[in-house]
Amino acid sequence: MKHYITLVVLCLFLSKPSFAQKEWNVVTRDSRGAAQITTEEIQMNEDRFENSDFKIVVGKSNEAISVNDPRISDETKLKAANTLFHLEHAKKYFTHTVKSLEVAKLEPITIRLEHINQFSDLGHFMNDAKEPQFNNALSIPAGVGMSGANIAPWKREIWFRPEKHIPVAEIMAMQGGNPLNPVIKKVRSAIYPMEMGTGLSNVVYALVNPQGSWSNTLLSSETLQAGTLLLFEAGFQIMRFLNKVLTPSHYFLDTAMIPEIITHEFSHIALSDYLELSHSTPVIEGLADYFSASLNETPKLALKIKQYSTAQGKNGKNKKLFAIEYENNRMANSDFVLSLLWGMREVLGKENADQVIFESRKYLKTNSSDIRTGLINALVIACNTTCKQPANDRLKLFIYFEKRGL
Amino acid sequence: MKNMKKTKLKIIPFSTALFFACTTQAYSQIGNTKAPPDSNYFGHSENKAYRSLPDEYKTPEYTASFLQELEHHLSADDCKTELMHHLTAQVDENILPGLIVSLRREQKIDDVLFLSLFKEVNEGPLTTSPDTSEEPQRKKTKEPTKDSCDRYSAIKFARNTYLVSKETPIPSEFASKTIKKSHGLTQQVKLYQDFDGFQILTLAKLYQNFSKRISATSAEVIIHYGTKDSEIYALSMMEQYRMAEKMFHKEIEEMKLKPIFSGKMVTFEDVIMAALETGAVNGDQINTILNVKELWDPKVTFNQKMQSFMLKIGGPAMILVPPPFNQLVALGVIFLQSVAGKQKIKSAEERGISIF
Repeated sequence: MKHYITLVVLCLFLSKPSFAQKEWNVVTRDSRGAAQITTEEIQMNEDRFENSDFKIVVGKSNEAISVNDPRISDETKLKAANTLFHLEHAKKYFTHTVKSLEVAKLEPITIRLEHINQFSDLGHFMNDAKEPQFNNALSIPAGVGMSGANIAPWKREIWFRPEKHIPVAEIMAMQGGNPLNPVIKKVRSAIYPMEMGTGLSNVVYALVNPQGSWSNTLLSSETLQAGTLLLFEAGFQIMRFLNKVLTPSHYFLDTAMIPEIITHEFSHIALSDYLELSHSTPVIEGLADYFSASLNETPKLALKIKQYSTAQGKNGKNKKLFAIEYENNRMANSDFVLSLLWGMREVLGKENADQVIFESRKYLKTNSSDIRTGLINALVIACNTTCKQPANDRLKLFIYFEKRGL
Repeated sequence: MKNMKKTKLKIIPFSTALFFACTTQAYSQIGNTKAPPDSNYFGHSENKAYRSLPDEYKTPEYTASFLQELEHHLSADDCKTELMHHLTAQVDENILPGLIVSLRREQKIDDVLFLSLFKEVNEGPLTTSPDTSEEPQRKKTKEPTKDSCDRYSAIKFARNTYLVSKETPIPSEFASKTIKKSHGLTQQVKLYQDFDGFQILTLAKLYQNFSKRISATSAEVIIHYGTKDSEIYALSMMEQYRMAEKMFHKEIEEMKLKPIFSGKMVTFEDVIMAALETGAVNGDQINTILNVKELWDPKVTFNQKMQSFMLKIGGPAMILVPPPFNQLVALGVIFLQSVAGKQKIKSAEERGISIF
């Protein structure tokens, strides 16, 4: 009997995949928040980018990337190591700090790199002929597949698209021109009428007071006005030129190389027990941004990483006022919700804020919760059950939300 | 040394309040001119204050229970114990007379109150009994008279019986902070000076109502069209909060018209102090609650005042200053307008995204 038990235990031990600590280069942040490449230990299979929590694959493949595969470029291997490292970090945060039982029980998640196919909730991947996708990342919900069409069921996954350099001029043309133009227009509308008015009043004054050498006085004052106008105009043109020189010529975003984007996507998975992965709303994106910021200990997301991105990034310290436009799904990637939630740390304390914000997902609806009612209601209700001093903390939250224009 | 002095001075007002409440002479001179005529203040049917009581407090059952509770707290021993407890806990026996003298020199108290306090301290100096225990005791303590304890006991009764919190209120700096333009009185002493027990309870009730409203799970506005039709608008949490704030403000203003206050000025701070004294709110919540007032009485910083002033003189300056320097003034005004515009937080209601 004893030998039988030993044999069973031995079989179980041998059947379990063995993972080891491997050292790989990954992208991390230095003390000033700038991106750097450092060597870190990653828990992974002997020769594959895979462990008990994640499996990193390329494109539509279902096989984990092999360390020794000559067909896989070094850059892709770096991306695989980078995503695996940051995803492990994110999972630890949700299981240890936020204490999410759901995340602790998560099935192994498949991570697809360099994947350009669009998502189909029926067929998993859209047809290759459909427009390929670049410069973004997304988390997809599980699907049942279609046995008749030879499409196997799939579980939750995270997809990272490859980067693609797009000329900024093209993007600006699509968005209606240089963003500096409205600013210049505003200053012109304030200065020019005043200058014109002064010039005109000088002429009228000279005409009704014809004594003395009025023509000389008028000439000099009008020259002064014209000179001032020219100076302003020259200033505007210099600003335009500088803006053109300082703005990057191309837009690109290598999502698999940016730590905050990787953790943002995992946050979607962690929140998906209540917030489905089917929608991208300002509330859902903002919550994922907050947890990405919290676990990376910085409110600045995807900033100071010019080698992998020329995108604008997000700043949770930007205490902008609420505007109704932020409710629009087209503004889902603005940093208002991130900054609103990040500011709650000053009100409730870091740990308490983490708990309240995580708890709030239970009172949100995936597709209909907006910021001013849905999110605020959810946070206040979550505070009732999670805050240390609910009455006082709730009042603090009301005062804080009021200050943020909500 | 400076710190020591500060600490002592913070303690003084609370002790002064207790002395004030437990000293007959001081009460009649410094306190409310409407001093209670006897210990049966709340139960006397002919008393003016009692006549203004709402009916719910005039039931025989309530009066009986109130008297029973009041008698208990009015006993001399209870009042003395309270006084001794606070004095021994907060003020050193040796410095107490000195502190009272300094209070008088700094004109924080008048001569009558000074004399009564000084007499109280000198007649019963604190000492440690060597043979029985290490608890400080008075060698000889003057018994506080029954009516001197009336007001303080009424408040204590309120705190212990029919307000929310049964927890011991946490002291707050707000209570011991000296109020400007109030002859050096603290918020706590001013409350006892301006209002009697029932008035303080009424003020505390205002805060309680506000607190209940912001804790409500939902709120709706119902519009009846006169027919069977009606419209229901569900308020968001922030609308509910702002509505509660506005109702709170309105009720404070309306309180001045109530007969029981007979034209007395009721301030937001009085309401909060009453809530603190009666245990409706704890000291650690005060700093949060004081911000509630921001909605109807926002703080104006020095920078904001300066900006407003500069913007006012900027217009005439653009005309009076000769060119080309007037351009600089114009630029300065544009800059200030943009900065001031950013700093001024328009409420959600002003921006049309909320009905409250």
